[in-house]
Amino acid sequence: MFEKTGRVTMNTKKSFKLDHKLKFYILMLIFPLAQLAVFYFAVNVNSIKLAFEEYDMYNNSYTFVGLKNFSQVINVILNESFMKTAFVNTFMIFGIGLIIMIIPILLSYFIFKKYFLHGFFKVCLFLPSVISSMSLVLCFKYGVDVAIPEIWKLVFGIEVKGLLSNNSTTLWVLIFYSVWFSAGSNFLLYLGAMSGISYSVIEAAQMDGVTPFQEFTKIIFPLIFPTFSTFLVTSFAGLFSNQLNLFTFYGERAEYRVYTIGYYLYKSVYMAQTADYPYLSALGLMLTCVAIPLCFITKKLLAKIGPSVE
Amino acid sequence: MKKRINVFKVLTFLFLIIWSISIISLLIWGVLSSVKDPLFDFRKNVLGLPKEWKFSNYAYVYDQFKVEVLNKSTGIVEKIGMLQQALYTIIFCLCCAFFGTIIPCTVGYLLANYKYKFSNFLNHLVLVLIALPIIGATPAELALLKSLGIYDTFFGICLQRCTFLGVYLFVFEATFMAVPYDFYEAAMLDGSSDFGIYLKIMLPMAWTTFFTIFLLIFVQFWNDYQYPLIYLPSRPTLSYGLYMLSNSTLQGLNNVPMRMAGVVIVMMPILILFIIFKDKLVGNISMGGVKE
Repeated sequence: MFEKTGRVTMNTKKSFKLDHKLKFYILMLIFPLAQLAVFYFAVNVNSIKLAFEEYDMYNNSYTFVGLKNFSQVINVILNESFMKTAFVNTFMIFGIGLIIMIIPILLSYFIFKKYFLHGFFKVCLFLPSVISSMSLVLCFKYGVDVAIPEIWKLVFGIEVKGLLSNNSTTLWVLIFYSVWFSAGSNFLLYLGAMSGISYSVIEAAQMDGVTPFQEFTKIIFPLIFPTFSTFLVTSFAGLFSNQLNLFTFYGERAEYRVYTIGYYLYKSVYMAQTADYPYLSALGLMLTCVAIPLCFITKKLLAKIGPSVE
Repeated sequence: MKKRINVFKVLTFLFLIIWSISIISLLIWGVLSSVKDPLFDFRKNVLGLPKEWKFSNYAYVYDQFKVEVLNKSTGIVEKIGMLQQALYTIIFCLCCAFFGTIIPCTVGYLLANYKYKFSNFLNHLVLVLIALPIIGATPAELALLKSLGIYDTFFGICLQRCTFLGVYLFVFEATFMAVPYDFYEAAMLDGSSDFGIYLKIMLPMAWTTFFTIFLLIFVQFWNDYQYPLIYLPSRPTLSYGLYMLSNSTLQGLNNVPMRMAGVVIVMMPILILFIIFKDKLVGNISMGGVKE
């Protein structure tokens, strides 16, 4: 396992030095690996174990109950209307998210090409990453519920309800917030990927007379495709964690009709007692079983159908 | 064809203009609302400039807003004020940012410079683990922290953050790969130990990347309220406090100007930090390191 393959192998003369290196290597890795073992592997093994257990209040311990928690989860999914709504909302938001994934790339391209006001836009796009979601949500929440009706009244002379308070617009306003303010997300990493493209490639294409649009579709996008594909796969990974900022907007009091699976999970963990952990672990495990194949299929598909630079 | 190119550029420009205006106007409206009188000004003057600039709103929120937490050792409900919240925030953010940076930095250095087969294995393992969407492991993590007796402690949080899983590992690996190997060899010839080389030569050379990632993690944790809400419930940070303030039903605080004052108090320090370190934070960070 510790056979050397690269950089350090250049120094093969002194075996004592190599041993010394190995000692340093092992010593420096002990703690990070132990942390990984406890906080990743042990936690996940424990999560799987918990899914098959039940909390025994009298003995303050967990006992094996087989598939009881899973049948409870299936029961909730099939019979509780809020869970159906949560699944529908989750997939709808995910679909919208997929469609708008191209936006940060276009914005990064604009900045990469150093078009007019690119420096200003770069700072603006980074702002939502600096300002806490709590602060931005509070400004937005009162903005659409208090300020927009006032503007409407001023411009059209009609009194309207706040967009979040209005039942028919609530979900769409929440989706709009999520989509609009995440438009700049990951733009820095896309920009980083674009900066890595050799200028000679772009220069040669420009000498061949390509237009900026062709440059984007035929050169830039194919060359940054690995970064795009990483984000696409991670978006599948985050399918069931997307809360639609509901906890930030409403705390634990969001209405059932706007529920997402991510919100339900976080809210349930936040309010959970020790006895609730097994049910939540079983739900998490079932969702993981859906998300993992989805991620790997997407990864394989992207590797097959990804664009190439002509 | 040329027209289409212009449309492409102009549309992106228009989108960016509308987007930028929307976020800036929202923030300006929030700041202006925070200095309005809740009763006599804000109710009748939602959009205009404040009739009287009530900066005392900040002092009121600072004095009056407290997060109630249960002290488990004494069993007494304690009221945590904003100063204490700020102190908890600084400890929480510094710990998380330091450990969240030094660990991937060290492992990244080892992966870049010590090409044992185990390094390759570790590299692939991290790639697989990052891609694995584990959902709902929080209850198990809470159970583990409780059983270890480190739940709701800064020590427990630090231990959790000592992870190298994540993209920053690859940023550090790429950074150290870019450092010429001659530096390493020269230091070896000078008789430096491996630890000395890492600490005195390699780490200073990766300082820009280290500091940028440290800042990014610091900002991320400053703004995060969900993580401390679950893992550090009795030590509320400022963002956690802001969450509580947004749901507070206390008379005097249960209105838009006071909540916006809370937003400004929490937002200001991080905005100042952003202005100071703008170039570092908005620099081009990529899997290939940080470009200065």
